Amino acid sequence: MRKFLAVLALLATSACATPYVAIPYEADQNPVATITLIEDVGSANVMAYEFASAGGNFGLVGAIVDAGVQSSRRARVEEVLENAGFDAQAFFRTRLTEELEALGYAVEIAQIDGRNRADLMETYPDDGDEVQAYLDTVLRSYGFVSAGAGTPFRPHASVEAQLFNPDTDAVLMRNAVIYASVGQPQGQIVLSPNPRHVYNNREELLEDPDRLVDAVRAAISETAVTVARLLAP
Amino acid sequence: MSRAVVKPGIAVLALASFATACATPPPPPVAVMAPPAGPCDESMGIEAPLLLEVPNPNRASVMAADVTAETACWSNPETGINTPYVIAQLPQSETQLLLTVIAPLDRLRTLATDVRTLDANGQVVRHFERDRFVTLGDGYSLQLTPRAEEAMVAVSVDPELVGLTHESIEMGISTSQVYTGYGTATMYHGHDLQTERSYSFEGRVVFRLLNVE
Repeated sequence: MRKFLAVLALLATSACATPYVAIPYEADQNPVATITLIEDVGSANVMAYEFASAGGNFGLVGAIVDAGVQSSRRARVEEVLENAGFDAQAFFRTRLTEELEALGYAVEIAQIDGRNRADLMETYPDDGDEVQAYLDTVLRSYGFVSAGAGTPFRPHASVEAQLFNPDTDAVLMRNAVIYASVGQPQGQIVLSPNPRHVYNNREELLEDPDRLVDAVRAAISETAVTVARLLAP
Repeated sequence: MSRAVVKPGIAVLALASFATACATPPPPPVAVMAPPAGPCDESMGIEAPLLLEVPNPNRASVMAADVTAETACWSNPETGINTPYVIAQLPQSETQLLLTVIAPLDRLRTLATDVRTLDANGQVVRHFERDRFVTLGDGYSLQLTPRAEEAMVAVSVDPELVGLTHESIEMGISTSQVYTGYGTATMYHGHDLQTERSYSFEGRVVFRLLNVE
């Protein structure tokens, strides 16, 4: 179900007419020294999805066959990542923290409940003077995507981020970053995938587990770097 | 008699349809590497800006301008290099606005945008560093929230960017209609294209103003 929602969201962001409403960070207007990063960055499962698949073009039977093929591919990629002990959410959090610290921020991690699927949180605790700004990030999807039959798989990651001042209830920054986007979502930041990480079919994707993990790491790392750059003082 | 009259008509029609079918589309514009020859103004003229309108809440208004050799040009004293420029006037608004300045990704080129905000007298309020620009779904872009003292936005060309190339891989889905014997069906096709573009002195700039209620 989660995978279905992630794919639906990805398609929606590709096709939607209403532009994404970003809020650029104005560092000189709202200077922040300490960022409180919310530990829960969502719980998206890995995806390995071919969008315009051959099966999907052939009615109900094709769709059923296609669902099986997609599911089997995703399960194999998940198995490879599990065998490598790769935790996408933890890796994203670590890379984001490193990049924020490199920009000069002090970063604290806060355990806050209330995440609803892959959405930004609707409310944040009022911690008085203790928290200068919450950084709420959601790893919306990650793994591999192919635009369609005959096109290669490329590593993918998608993140939404929001910086919130609990003292003034103001959103200081909001943006979405997509590494390897299928379509051109208006208003969201798009990162072109590294041409080195290209897999022409399922066999190529799975033949070298280390390479597969490296590709996913690269996609998630690039999104984390970009989110941090949006907060450059 | 009548056949003799009709035949040339058919021939002309056939020739016209043949010419239409075989017309080669014009090649995409290439990147322009040379600055305007000038002479150029010593300061940007603010007398005739493009007028951006406040859209309805949660909607956007969009305006585009082609930056070419015919566009007004300015001799930038910081670089000593001439640059074409376009100025757009920011509307007064009670609600928060989000302005996105976009250089769309043409087939071969992208305008090397350099963006400043100006006050009502044409004085620079903010000049945005290159690291503030990102690639949005629509192109090489800068997002900014206009401030009270900012009345206009000026887009010129960053000469240091001109000539640099940027490669990207663009993935998407297209559709086509096919006849199946029982009727038409929509087929979905994926595409995955590796492209290379150069930043240019000329190109298109788009201003998208979003009313964030």
